[in-house]
Amino acid sequence: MKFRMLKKLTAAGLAAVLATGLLAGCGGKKAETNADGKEIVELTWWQIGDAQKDQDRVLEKANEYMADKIGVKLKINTAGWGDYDQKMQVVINTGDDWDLCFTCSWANNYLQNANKGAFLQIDDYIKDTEMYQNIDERFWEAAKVQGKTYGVPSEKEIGSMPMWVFTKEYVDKYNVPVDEIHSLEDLEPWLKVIKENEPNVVPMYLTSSFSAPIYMDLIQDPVGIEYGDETLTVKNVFETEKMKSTLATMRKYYLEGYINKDAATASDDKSVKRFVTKGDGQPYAELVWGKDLGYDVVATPIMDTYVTNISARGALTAINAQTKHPEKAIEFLNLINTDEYLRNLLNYGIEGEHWDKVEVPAEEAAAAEGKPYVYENKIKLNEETRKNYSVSYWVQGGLFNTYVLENEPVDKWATFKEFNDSSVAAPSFGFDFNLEPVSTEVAGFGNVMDEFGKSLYTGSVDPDEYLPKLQEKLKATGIDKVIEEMQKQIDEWKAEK
Amino acid sequence: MFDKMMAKRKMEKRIKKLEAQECKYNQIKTPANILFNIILAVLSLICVIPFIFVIIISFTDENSLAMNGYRFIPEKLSFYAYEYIISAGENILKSYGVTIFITIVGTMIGLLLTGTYAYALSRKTYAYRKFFTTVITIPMLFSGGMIANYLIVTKVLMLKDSLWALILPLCLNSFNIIVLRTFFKTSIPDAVIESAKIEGASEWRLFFQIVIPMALPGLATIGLFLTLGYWNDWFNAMMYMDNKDLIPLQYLLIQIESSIDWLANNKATMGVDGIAAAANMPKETIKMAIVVISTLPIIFAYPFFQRYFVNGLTVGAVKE
Repeated sequence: MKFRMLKKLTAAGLAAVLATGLLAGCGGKKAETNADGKEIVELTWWQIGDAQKDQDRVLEKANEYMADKIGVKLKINTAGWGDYDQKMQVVINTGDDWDLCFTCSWANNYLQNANKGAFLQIDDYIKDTEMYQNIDERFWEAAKVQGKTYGVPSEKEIGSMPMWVFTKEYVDKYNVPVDEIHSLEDLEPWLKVIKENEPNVVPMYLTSSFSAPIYMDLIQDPVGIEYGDETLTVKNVFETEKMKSTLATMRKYYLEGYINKDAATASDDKSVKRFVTKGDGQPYAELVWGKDLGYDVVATPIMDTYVTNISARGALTAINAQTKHPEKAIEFLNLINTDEYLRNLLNYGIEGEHWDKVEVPAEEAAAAEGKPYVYENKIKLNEETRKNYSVSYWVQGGLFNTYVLENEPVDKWATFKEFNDSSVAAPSFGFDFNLEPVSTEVAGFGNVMDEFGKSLYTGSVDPDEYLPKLQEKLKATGIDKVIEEMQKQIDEWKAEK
Repeated sequence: MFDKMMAKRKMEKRIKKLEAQECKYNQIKTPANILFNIILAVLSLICVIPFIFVIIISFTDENSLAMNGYRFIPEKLSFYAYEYIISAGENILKSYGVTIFITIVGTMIGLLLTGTYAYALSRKTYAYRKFFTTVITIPMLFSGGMIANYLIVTKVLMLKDSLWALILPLCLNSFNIIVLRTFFKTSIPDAVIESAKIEGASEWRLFFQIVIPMALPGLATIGLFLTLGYWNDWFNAMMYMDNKDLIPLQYLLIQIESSIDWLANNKATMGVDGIAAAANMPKETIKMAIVVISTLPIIFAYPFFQRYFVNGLTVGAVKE
């Protein structure tokens, strides 16, 4: 009897210990206050990319600045490029404590999360903010899901610009008129020249991530609406004449030996000498490519730049629907998109340590005068310390209020702005496809595309034989139903517009 | 005394003779022997060559790697990767420490928990045997899934960003318990336990001084499972670790690897931004050097455990 009593007591005691342990974990922290005596709110911000060694020190500086300015301090959590999607699903679905997160069309999907109600609807908050005025309205338009805004876009290039990227050495040697080359067919004579004269050079170097130039907005790969089609007819990309002829041309190039034989499986090998390859660019992309490859390149756009939902939702920052500090979060987002000091601090690190200001050459400054987004100085990154703090610039906010690097033109952002202004909205811009009625069919497309896409795009197989096979598989997966559903939705959307 | 020794020696001689005789019939013919040797040599080469290759790449000069690709005999040797890890790779060394810590502590805690649990289940006299067997069988068949696990660990146990989140979830495994229970059951005769009890041993003494020494091979097996499990674990770190100072080596590797993969596969969507991001990634030789330093300790762990495995083979060899 006594023994049993003891057992019960121990059990109760254990339970009590556990319970106190739990409670202790939830104990309240004493709130910090800033110089004005206002309480400082800590915002947790999830970002894509790898953790930086000096992040804490940069944040310390930023927090100091923001505490007095708006009473906010930041805590940044990062998840690597490959993990971000999965990590955010867990963080969002389990109701973790977070305030801000990076979201876009290609990671931590903006549309899905907005539809699900994970993000705070911010229309009422942003109306009177400075950033709302500053950021291109088309970015705001793209951020709307069923008429409501759920994220603050990072202002950068608005459209995607597929380009041919030529190695400058051969362009100079053979006087290739790069600016006149646009379509796939334009390349042919020059590929031939290289093939005949430069046995060690691959005329057209392609890798497995290559996709042939596509002249349509692929709303749901491989279904979409062709650029310039104002009637908004939903099509299967493999049934368009443009794609058929493109694939035939690719096949021809492949058979002629212009394309590397392992194109469908290769991953980019920088040691391969190439004449031309395809890249997805933006203004001054040549500088980035050239630096990456170790030699100069020149690029020319394949087609006009179109603005689609996917391209304009390239980077946004959303607020947790459950956040306790919606006003502060907006206030902070406004600050980072408008405040020069804070933006550059978070972007490049600490001045004097990670970077230094350098003068703009006088003639360059004179030439850029009067253009928007031109700053009085450029910056030079410290080669030694920059590896301790190098973040992806557009993850944290708009690019146009950052300083440009030493080797970039001072009017870089003005050119971006021009580029954005000249980009044409695709006819389907603003339309969101609701996947739900056809989710099973859509799920099957991925497999079919994996099976045929790469080998067809790179010309590795004969389209006369494999294209019908691909069509057949897509039909079996239910592409007709998807086209029908999308057409129905887009007609409704058009009627409302 | 002398007699006894003589008899023993005679006995030994006879055994030797018998063995020699037996050997004659057990020997395989030379061609077959050569064939088997070749097959085994090829198999072991297949296992070893990738490792050797990784080691070679980690010592190759980064530039000659970019120019020539992977090669068995590198054009230029370089210790850059290891220098980098020692000098600049603070986070790599930190992660190394985390991995070693969770492996040692985790294996010890895991062995203690698994051992005691399995031992209790192996005793026929234990009243709640059925109940506790059912308790461990359930998670073997069903699991709550990722979200439920995450909620329990972070919201109920409050282990987010704590090293315990890397240790506790892997400590107790139903499969290990059942293996060890069966081992206890078959290799420790009830008679031993009974006699120890008659001699007046308490339950604790019985377990630590009688059962454990007898069950070392079994415990070593489970110990190896646990060590490997902890050493290679990255999933828990991905789920529960936001603090970048506390991530184990394997997760660091996975992060680097998956980031590079992802950036390579999403070139079209990322465009120029992806190239800029990829430029910040560690170089090929550094990746390989991390693989080397993360594999070495575990290679040394094998011979250590092997001693017990050989022992274990003979333990149940003869039934009396």
